[in-house]
Formats: sequence, C-alpha cells, structure tokens
Amino acid sequence: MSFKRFVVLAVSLVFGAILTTAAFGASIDFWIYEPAGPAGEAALEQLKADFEALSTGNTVNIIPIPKGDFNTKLNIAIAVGEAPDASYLDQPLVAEFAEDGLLDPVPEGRIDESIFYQGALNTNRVGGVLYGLPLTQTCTAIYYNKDLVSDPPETWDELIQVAKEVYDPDKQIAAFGFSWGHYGGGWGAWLWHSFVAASGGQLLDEENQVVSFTEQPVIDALQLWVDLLAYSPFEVIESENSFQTGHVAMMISGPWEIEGLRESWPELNWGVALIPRKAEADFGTNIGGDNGVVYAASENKGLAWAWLKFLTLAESNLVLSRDVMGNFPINLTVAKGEWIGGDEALAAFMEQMKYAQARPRVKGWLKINDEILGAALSEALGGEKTPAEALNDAAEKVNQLLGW
Amino acid sequence: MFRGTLKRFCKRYLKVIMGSFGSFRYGESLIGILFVTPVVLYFLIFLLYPALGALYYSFTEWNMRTRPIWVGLWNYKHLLFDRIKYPYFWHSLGVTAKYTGIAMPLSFVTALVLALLINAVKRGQDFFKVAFYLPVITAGAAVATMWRWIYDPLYGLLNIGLKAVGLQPQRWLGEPRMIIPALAIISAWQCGFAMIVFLAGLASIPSRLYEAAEIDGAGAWQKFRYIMLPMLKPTTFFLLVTGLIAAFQVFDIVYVLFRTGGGTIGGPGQAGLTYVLSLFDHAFRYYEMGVACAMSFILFVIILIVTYLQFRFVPQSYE
Repeated sequence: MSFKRFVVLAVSLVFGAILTTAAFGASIDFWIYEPAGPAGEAALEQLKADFEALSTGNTVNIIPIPKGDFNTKLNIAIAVGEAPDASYLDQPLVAEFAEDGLLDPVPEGRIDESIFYQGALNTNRVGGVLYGLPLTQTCTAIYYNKDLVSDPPETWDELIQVAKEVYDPDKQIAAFGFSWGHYGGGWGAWLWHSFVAASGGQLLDEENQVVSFTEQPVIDALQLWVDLLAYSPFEVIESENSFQTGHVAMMISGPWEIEGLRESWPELNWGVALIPRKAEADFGTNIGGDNGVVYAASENKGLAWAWLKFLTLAESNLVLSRDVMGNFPINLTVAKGEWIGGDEALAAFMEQMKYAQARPRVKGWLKINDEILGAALSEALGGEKTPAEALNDAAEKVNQLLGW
Repeated sequence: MFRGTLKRFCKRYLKVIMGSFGSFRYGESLIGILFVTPVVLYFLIFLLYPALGALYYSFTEWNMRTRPIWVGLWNYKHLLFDRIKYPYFWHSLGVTAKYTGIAMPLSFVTALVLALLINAVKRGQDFFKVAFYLPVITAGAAVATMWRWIYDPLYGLLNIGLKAVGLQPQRWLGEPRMIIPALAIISAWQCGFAMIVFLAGLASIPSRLYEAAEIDGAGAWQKFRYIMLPMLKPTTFFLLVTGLIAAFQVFDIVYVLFRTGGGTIGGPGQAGLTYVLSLFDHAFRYYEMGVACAMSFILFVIILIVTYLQFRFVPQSYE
C-alpha cells in the first residue's frame, strides 16, 4: 500500500469514527503555542481547514498563545472556568493536571496505540490511565566532532576509551560536554535521564510508585558522568560554544542545535550518534515535547478527541510537528519517511526517539527533578558525595516528600 | 442618604489628604483631591488589593488552577522548618544576603568614585553621565550575553586580563563560590542610577563651603572627608535604603544569566539562586502560588525590619 493511500484510508477510518461521536455543528476551542512565523501559522490554518472539511459543520477555534505565557494563562483560564476544550500541554504537567481531575481520559478504543512512539505515548500515562495524546516530541543524542572522533562510541566502555584518547589538556580539548556547560540542576538532571535510560535503569518503577535511584544501573549512570569529568575539565566544557569551537569532542544535546551548527559553524565537521548504552542494556534517551489533552469540563469532548486524533495522523502530524512547531513527529509511520530527505542528523534523532523513556509521571516531579535529583547530580559531580551516596540521599528525600 | 454618606467620606478624605483638620476650604481642596485621586486609585487597585490578595493566598494551598484551600500557617511553617519540601528557602535567603553584602558596598563605592570623577571633569560631563548610565537601561538579555562572554573561562576578557598579569584564571559562572562575586561585579557596572543621585548630591553642596575650606588651607582629601561625605549623608541614606531593597529583590540578571538556553535555575550548585528567583520558581514553575505568596510576605517582613534598623541607626542628616 502506498503512503498516500494509507493516509487516505486512515483519515477515512478516523472520520467514520468521528461522525459517530462528534455532534454536528459543534465547536471547540483549542489552545496551542503560537507558531514561530507566518509559514507556521499558514500550516496551522491549513490543518484546521482540512479537519473542518472532513468534519462537516464542526468548527475548531485555534487560539495561539506565546509559549512563555502559555501555562500561566492556561491555569488562569481553568481557575475562572474558561478552560478550552482541548490544548497543548507540556509533558510534565500532564500528571499534575490529571491528578487535579481536570483532564478527560482518552476514551476506550479511540486510538491505536501501536502507531505512536511508545516513549512519547507514555508521557501521557498517569496511574496506568492515558490522559492525552503525544503531538510532537524531541530528545537528546550525542553530537561528536568527526575530526576528533572518527567512530562514535556505542557503549559506555567505548565512550570512556574515546574520552581517554581525545582528551588533550595542552590543546584544551575536553572529551565530553553538557549543553551550555552547566552541570547539575534541573536541566542537568533531564539530560542525565538519557544515560539512566541507556543503562537499562529508570528513575521510578514501571507503575511510578517506587523510587529506583538506588538501583545499580542508575548509580552506574551517574558514576559514568563522574568518570567522564576526569577527561572533561570544567574550564573547557563551560566555555561558550565549546563544542562548536572544537574544544569538546562529544556533547549531549538535542536537535535544536542542528540549525545553529549548520548556519553559524559551517566548517565544523560534526555528526549525531545514539547515546552510548551500558554493555548489557538497550539504547535509551530522555524525551521532551508536547501532548494534546481534552478537559473534563469540555462540552464537546467527542469533537475535541477527534481533532487531537486528526493531529496524530501521519500526514497532519508531520505538518504540525515539522512546519508548525519545529519538532519531531510522534507517528511511527511518518517518522522515517521522505521528509528527512537523507538528513543524517535528523535520521539519527528519529532513530534515537525509538528508545526514549518517559520521565516519571507523578505530581511534583518537576520540583523533584530540580531540587532533589539536580542537587544529587551537583553533589556527585562536585565531589561532595559518591554517586551512590548522593542518589541514596535523594531517594530518601523523594520517599519522604511523596509519602512512600 | 447615600449622597450624605459620600459627602462625609469625601470631607474626611480631604482632611486626611490635606492634613489640616480645621482650616481647609472645600473649593481649593477639590483641586488637590483631583490631583491625588489617580494615584490613590492606582494604589488601591494595583498595589493594595493585590497585596491583600497575596496575603490571603499565603494562607492557602493554591496551584492557580483549582480552588485555593485554606491551610493557615502551613506554608510559613514548612518554608521555615521543612528542609525536604523546601530545601532552598534558607539557602536562597543566604545567597541574597551574601549578594547584598558584596554587591551593595561595591556598587556604592563605584558610583561614588564615578560621580567624583565626573564632578571633577570640566568638559564633557554629559557624555560620561550618559556613558555610565547606559548599563542601567540596556536590555537584561543583552547584558547577560555580554557578561557571559566576559566571564568565559577560555576566551573571556576577564580571564585574559588575569592571565596577562600572572593571575590564575577563574570559572566565574561555573565555580559556585565565584558566582556571587561575579554577580556583584555586574551590579557595580550597573551603578548608573546611584552615580546620578550622588552627582545631584554633590551639586547641591554650596560652593562657599569649599571656598571657606580652601581659605583654611584644606586639601582635596580634607574637602572630601569633612565637606563632601558629611553633606552627602542624606543622599547616602536614600541610596542605602533603596539599594538594599533592590538588592534583596535581585532577580532579572540571575534569571537571564542562568536560564538562557535551558540552563540550571540558580547556576551550578544553585549558588546564584536568589530569594526572588526561588520565589518565581515556586510561583511559575511549580505552581505553588500559596507558597510563593508566603515567601513574598516573609521578604516583606525582612525588608521592613532592615529598613527600620537603617532609619534607626544610620545618620540621615548633615549633623
């Protein structure tokens, strides 16, 4: 079956289902981040027109909000009873909103879970219940300088080996850098989650009810970062654009670097590789991006779910993620399609996203990530505690905080 | 009946506003009330009402999207004593106190030195005033970008300068112990407002005092020590009070320095996590608005006490 025929069939099937659930002449408000430019706005308008053409008589009122103000405005709208029918929602907020009883669970049998990247889908699962659909996604991988690293490492042993080889204090070349040089803190904890996933470990157990910081794979993931510091002096990796200026051989970061590297550093010979994995584990990485949710107070939930489902279909999801939001699609069908056009960096990220592990979905995780996990990283990387001590202490704090 | 009540209210309002209970005349006072009414309305609607609202919310658990739940003093108690729930409360207060202790004197001295230098310049004073005031009105993001480059460990101007004179380069924004001094230097660079106020203070010193001192044989140091410094006491007091309040509320420069590009919240080891930055995170990152409101009132009390102590112990007049 050709791609186009597949899309037509999928759309027809979806709208067969829509017409049985969504009332004729209904209207929904949908809040979304404001697209970056006119091209994004036009693409969004086209998506709306396509949907309304298929869902005759129904209307989607798209309300773009600047990303920086989005969550605050959304909270205020909900507080005064003016919540939209559906909206974008930052991944870590899904658990918060779900536990406040604000979200409508995905109706039974409404979606085919197999079309999604599982990491992206799982960011919507709270207490085993699916409260939203992934719309776009992103993750981190390894950027490497091809002039310094001819063969990117696949395993942690290889990573340490490469680090030893490329480290050159005389030429001020460090082995491994974190984005913008900062370590620890909430940002560092989010980056480090990639290595936890690549260790075969996880931050909380599958049911999100037990802290797993103290398990050996997680401790090993932090020990790996500590070990890498021996070949990555802070004064080098903290320098602005240290990877771009050739002082850092490898760095962990996301696809947001690609455009800048190509436009501002055309002479840099770089590539993207998967996050190296622990020898006995599978690949892994973290995940970011945005989900679509329907509010419990909505009077047109059927239409709202139909709209979100439309946005996850292969063709529309590609438009939404690539053209409107500048992110990656979550639909497996389209993810490795022609749109990548032989772009090795994009292909590497799409491959990496297959191994993405959703962050824990418990209320208050953002704070735990910043204030407890981030602090544990700082303590271990700063040499105040061993990784095991830092993570044991962090686990104890999380257990006290969550009453586990 | 309503008109009578309103009239009585207006009369009392006028009495309070005009400050003369026995001798004000209604017609003259009407003009006065018209002048002050916009400010009074602004105060009531945009300052007093939100402040009272924040006070109420400080006694609630509120995430801004569901109904606030009355919890009494819970937020205050846990902020002050619960190190698991709020591990950075005392830390952020300490960071802010340290910042205030370093940045304020540094800014003060820099502003006074600049003001004295400009005061001594015969031509082109306006140019220097504008040049030194520019950092105050420069956009925070631009300031942060520029200082990140100045503090860069490999290519930064500051480290190049240190190396040139044989000193050890520093990790200004990477080493936790260096972060507050680095922020204080930026604060001193942005001392243009204090400099302008000092210049105004210097200009208000009567020239006859200098002339009399010169006749008595006073040199530059004596004039500075026995004329300028005492005559600048009211100016110094004003800058001390306003500077301390501003230092306790420092937020923007830390926010743009460490947040830009997905950085950590308060820099490495949270060494730059100032009180208001922490408050902002509780309000707009963790959506603990009740806690954030409680933090704002704790800060209010701290500033109130410190300001009272300043009024009590710091000399305010020439004597």
